[in-house]
Amino acid sequence: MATESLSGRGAARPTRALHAALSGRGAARPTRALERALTQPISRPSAQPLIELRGAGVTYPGQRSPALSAVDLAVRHGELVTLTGPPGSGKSTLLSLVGLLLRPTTGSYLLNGFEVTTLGDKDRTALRGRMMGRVFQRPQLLASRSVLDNVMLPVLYAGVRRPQRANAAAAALERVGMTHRMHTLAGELPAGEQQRVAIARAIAGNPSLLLCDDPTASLDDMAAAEVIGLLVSLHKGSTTVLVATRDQLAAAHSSRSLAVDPGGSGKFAGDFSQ
Amino acid sequence: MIRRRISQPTRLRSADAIGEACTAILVKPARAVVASLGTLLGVAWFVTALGLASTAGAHVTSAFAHRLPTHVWISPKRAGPAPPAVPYPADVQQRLRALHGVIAAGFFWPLRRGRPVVASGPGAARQAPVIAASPGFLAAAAVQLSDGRLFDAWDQAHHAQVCVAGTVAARALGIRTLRKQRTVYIDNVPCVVIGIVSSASGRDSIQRSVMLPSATAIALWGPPDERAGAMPALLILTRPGAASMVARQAPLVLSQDRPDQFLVRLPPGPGPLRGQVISTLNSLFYALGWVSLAIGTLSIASVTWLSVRERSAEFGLRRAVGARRRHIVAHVICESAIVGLIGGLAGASLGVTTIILVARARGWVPVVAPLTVLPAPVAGTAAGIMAGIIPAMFAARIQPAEALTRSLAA
Repeated sequence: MATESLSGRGAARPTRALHAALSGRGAARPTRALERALTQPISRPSAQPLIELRGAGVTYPGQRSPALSAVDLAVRHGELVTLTGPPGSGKSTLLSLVGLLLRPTTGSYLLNGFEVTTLGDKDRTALRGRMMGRVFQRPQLLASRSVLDNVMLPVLYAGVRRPQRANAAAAALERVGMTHRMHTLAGELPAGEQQRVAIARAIAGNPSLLLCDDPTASLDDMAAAEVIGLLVSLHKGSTTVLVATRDQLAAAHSSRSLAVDPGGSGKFAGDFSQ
Repeated sequence: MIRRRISQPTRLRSADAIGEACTAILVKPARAVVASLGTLLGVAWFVTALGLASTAGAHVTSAFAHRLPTHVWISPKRAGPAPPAVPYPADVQQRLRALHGVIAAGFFWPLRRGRPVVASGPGAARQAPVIAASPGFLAAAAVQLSDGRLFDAWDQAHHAQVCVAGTVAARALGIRTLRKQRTVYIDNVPCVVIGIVSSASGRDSIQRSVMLPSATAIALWGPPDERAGAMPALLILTRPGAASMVARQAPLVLSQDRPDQFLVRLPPGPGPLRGQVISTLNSLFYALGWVSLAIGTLSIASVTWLSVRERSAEFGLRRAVGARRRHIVAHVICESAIVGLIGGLAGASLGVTTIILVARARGWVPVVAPLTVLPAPVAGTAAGIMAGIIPAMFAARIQPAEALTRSLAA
């Protein structure tokens, strides 16, 4: 049985044994099969990609041209993948798609080997809340709430009681080195520290997938380097990290860097399957 | 050992929902004050209106009480088999006085023997009608004297030949004062005038008549003569407001077998009028209360709506980190309900204060039913919940991907 401490450090983070679950793919009861898949004790790394997009595209309602068209992408467990590309190339849309904030209008999305495109809101919300952490371009902190309150937010919806929430949040803050600011109002922090708090919030629920949408965009070089360093260290703790960035430093640390190409129907120039 | 069950639905503990809502309110106290102001005024008005309605109602009741009927007349019905000469039990006065609300009761009948009543002394014969009455009747008619005394139980027992003259009768008989003894002749029987009436209530005929003790009248002329129409009637004096109840009970006291053989008359009181005045006041106050509560609800709704719009990025964030739509709904409705509760509590306090101040200024006794004040916080909460429904639905529909492109305002 795998144990995961809230800090997420320690033994190599196991990936999932999904083969049993995969045999149930296409079954009529996705929720139960999915639950079985995701509750499997995680014992060994798997070659199965964590994220697999197959010709996934997104067209926003009321718009003719797709924001993202026919993307094939595979990200394995424990990878740090950076997405690069000019603004408007669809990086954010891709991250929203992967982060279950959008549904693909074409193609399919397999998360952990399971089709999540057609899942109901309840299950998608559950996956968002319990499996993913996310960092946005702006820190998106509740400015008039304390740092601790902000970091506790995702754990709140895990139904965890307040003392345990506070413990989880404190552990996350320790990992980003912000323990000393725990009781400060989030709005009073400088931008770099706010983004670190945002990262703490993203990892407080101990997600297996961390999605970062240009986390260094609003930071100066110094703060940006700190944030990149943090993400890299989290990745070394074997969290799968997907970063959309223009930061060369991030790209340098990544296992793969994929360029998102704004032109053409296949917006991604790279072959993401490999 | 933590086994990860990722697809287990996310949840929001109710204590956490309330806690989050409270924190959100405390973070922006001014907004909560503004939002609750409408409800506060609405609930305050409601409490004030209801409280003033009951206070004013109580006041109107006491004002009208002075004009309530205090006399009940009872007489045997003429129709039907020949009733007994005196259809009342012998102890009728005691029985009636035992009724709650009865001050005095007595019977009387007019003597219509066809013979004039003649005053003694010089001059032409002067006449006045004669009434046989029990001492209780004089008390029930609240007879006040300008001179002399009333006849009493002793006079009754001894068939004393005495009488009391009404003001008009005394003038007609040429009697102004009792400084020297005056005697009138009733059917050639001399009777000493022992009192002159100054005021009496219940019937004008008292002032026009000469009254002598009923026992004396029976001893002299026998029981009242039915066929002459001289049927004995009862006059009951009640406390204010008790007349209608006494009117219902008295026939049963007189005859348990045949309470229907009596004709009961109650002078028309202001009862229906009073009821109309109070119900008009009440319905007006109620209507204004509902209107103001509705305005209060709308004010919470609009402030909550603005707050939700302003915080769409926050709700988008909450959705992104695991809040289900129903969690957002619960969160928003909790907030508006708490604002409503605050408004309800403050409004109830303000309302009670207003009632006391108004009542004090008007010199009324404040009357506030607990049922007016205690549901006020509940009403405020209910208003808050209703106000929160539409904004909550809006908040639940926020698309996180879109909302998060905006910056968090809160």
